[in-house]
Amino acid sequence: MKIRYSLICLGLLSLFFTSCKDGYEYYDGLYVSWTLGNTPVYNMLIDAEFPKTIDLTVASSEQVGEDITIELRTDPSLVAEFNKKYNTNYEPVPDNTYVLTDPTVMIEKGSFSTTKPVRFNVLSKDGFQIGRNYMMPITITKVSGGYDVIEASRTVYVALTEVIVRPAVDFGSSGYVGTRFSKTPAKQHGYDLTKLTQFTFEARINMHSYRSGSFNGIMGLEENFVLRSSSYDGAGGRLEVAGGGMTFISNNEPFPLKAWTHVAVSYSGDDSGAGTVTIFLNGQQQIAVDVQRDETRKYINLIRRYNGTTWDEDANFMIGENVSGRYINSVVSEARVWAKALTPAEIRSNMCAVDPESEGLIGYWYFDEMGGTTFKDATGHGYDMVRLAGTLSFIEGVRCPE
Amino acid sequence: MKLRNIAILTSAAALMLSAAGCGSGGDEENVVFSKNLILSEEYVEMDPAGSVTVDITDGNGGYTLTPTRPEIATASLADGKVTVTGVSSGQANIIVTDKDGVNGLISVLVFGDIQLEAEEITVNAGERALDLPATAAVIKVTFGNGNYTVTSDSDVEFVVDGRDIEVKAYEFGELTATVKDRTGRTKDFKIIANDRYASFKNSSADIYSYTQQGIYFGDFGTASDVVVDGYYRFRKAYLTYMDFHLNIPVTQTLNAGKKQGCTFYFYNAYSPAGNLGSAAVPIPVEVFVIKNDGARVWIGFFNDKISGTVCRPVIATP
Repeated sequence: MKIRYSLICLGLLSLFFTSCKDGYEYYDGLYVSWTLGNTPVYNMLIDAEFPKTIDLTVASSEQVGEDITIELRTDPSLVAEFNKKYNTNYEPVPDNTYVLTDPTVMIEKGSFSTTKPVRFNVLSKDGFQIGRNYMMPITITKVSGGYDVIEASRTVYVALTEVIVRPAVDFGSSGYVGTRFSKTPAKQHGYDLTKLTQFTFEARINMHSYRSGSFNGIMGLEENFVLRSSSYDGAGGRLEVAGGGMTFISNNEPFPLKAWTHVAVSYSGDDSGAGTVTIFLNGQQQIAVDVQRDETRKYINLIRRYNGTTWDEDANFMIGENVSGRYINSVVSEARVWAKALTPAEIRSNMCAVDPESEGLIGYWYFDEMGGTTFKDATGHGYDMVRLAGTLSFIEGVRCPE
Repeated sequence: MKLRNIAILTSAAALMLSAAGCGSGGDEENVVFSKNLILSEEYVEMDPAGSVTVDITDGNGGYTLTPTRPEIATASLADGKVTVTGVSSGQANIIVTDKDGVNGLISVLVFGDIQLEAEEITVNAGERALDLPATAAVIKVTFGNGNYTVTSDSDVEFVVDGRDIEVKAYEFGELTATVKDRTGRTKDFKIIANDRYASFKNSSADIYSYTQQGIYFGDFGTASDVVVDGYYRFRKAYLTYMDFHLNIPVTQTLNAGKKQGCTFYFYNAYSPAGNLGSAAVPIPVEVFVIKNDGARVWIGFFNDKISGTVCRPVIATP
């Protein structure tokens, strides 16, 4: 009898100690099968073909002892929570463009996972706006049999990434473009572009080759703020930021050739000229360096550059060259100038497109004007880029993401 | 007895703690699940003005219908059956929703005429006799009813991959092709098949061109075509500033046709960085001898960076 009562107690105590733990790190339970990772996000590419579907299964970390019924539902209200947690800017997928079918599923006794999937279908992109990011959380709402759900894996977040297909401009070996930020903007943006303490430049680049023994100017405000690939003095094509008396900043890795690469450089500083320069490739931070800009160039001034002999106080902000024939031999698509230092999450979220109305976006060029020599500023500020030299050619059908 | 009482009390306390300690597990037996919404068909197709009936075989009742493109297909509900009616050609969906918010989906294709993204497509034709490759181009079906086949009375090859039709032509001029789908609907499109060497073939001029970067140097320089190091070397140089060699192994002969093992060397001192720079060593190129009339030879060459043409007197076989 004593033994029997003790077993009952142990069983009940065991039940107590195993029934209320959350978090998959130390506890068994049910989870949506996609979610066991750092971020439970499924990226769904959206192009012109519909429907797009993802089949979701629910799994158990151990064989279940009885049939387990589980119900999942879409929950747009979780998007805001996700944005807050991961510093992102997703919006819920617009109504009537998606459905979740077969939301009630079963893990049969002795199994580890559901056999029939819950299917999330995206039916169209009606109402989608280019440059905005959409997401739909799908979450376990009901479970039978008292089985617990691993909270960190209760919800899968389906992020919709629209594939942008556009032409792009090939600068060839001696082409480049520029715009003067000194002009009065067609639409007010409220930033003094001669005294920026926060700045980001980003573009998609597909570089053909490095110039022998020289620099390849991606974005140039010479002696002010230059982003370039260097093949000077054996540098081997490494990515650099220079100008403004800043510490020499080098990524030490060659900028990729013959591959579409998103490059971004951000600067976050203050009125003393102290700041941080951060370089990103394909959304991944490469280096972050604290710098001290010199007294006469402590701000990023988008209309000032050294032209090789004198300071030009009404300078072109150039893409494809910085000074003295330091051309980039490259195809370029999607270039943007921001009066803010983008966060890594912001850069990762918008490598292919961004809302032209975004706060802090000063200039945005798609470079998709086939055969053109003028490239529209999509922000509406009027900072159109114009061809300054070289023969430009164009390629069609550039996809992002590839 | 004391021990028994302690055990019972301990068990009761543990049970209470167990029940109270986990919000999700306490009333699990009362969880009510919505049934999945089951439809007899999840895909239907019809002609415009046609209709198809789909049974709702299981669900939670209280159904509503949402057509995603009512200009293409609409739907009505009666006696647990959904009647889908075609309006105009296209693809659409009918979302069926029950009182619990559970969805079912009916995908609809309303047949219509085949639509292509363009009326015509332009390609560089190949020449089978010379083993010259054709340049492929793709025309896309933007709307149709599936299972496409493509035919032409001309010498044209087609590869159909879903809605993409790859076209390769082996004769020149304005050709016609016909796309047919599984419903028997057809759509013609035009193929403009260019001869990329047309101007070159008809020319007897001494042409050396280096076309991709726009360099043309036929008007100056000295030609010196010889056999050297086992190659027919077609060369033109200007002082010490420019030097271009096209090398064809002598084993390949200069008869018309595709040649193997050919190289191109170039040096351009005037603009080492502004153009293609200089190849330090001869680089591989594809070479086709277009024509050899016994006195002159017409040659085309290219790789992924450069392309050009040469028309020179035949170099004597060593």
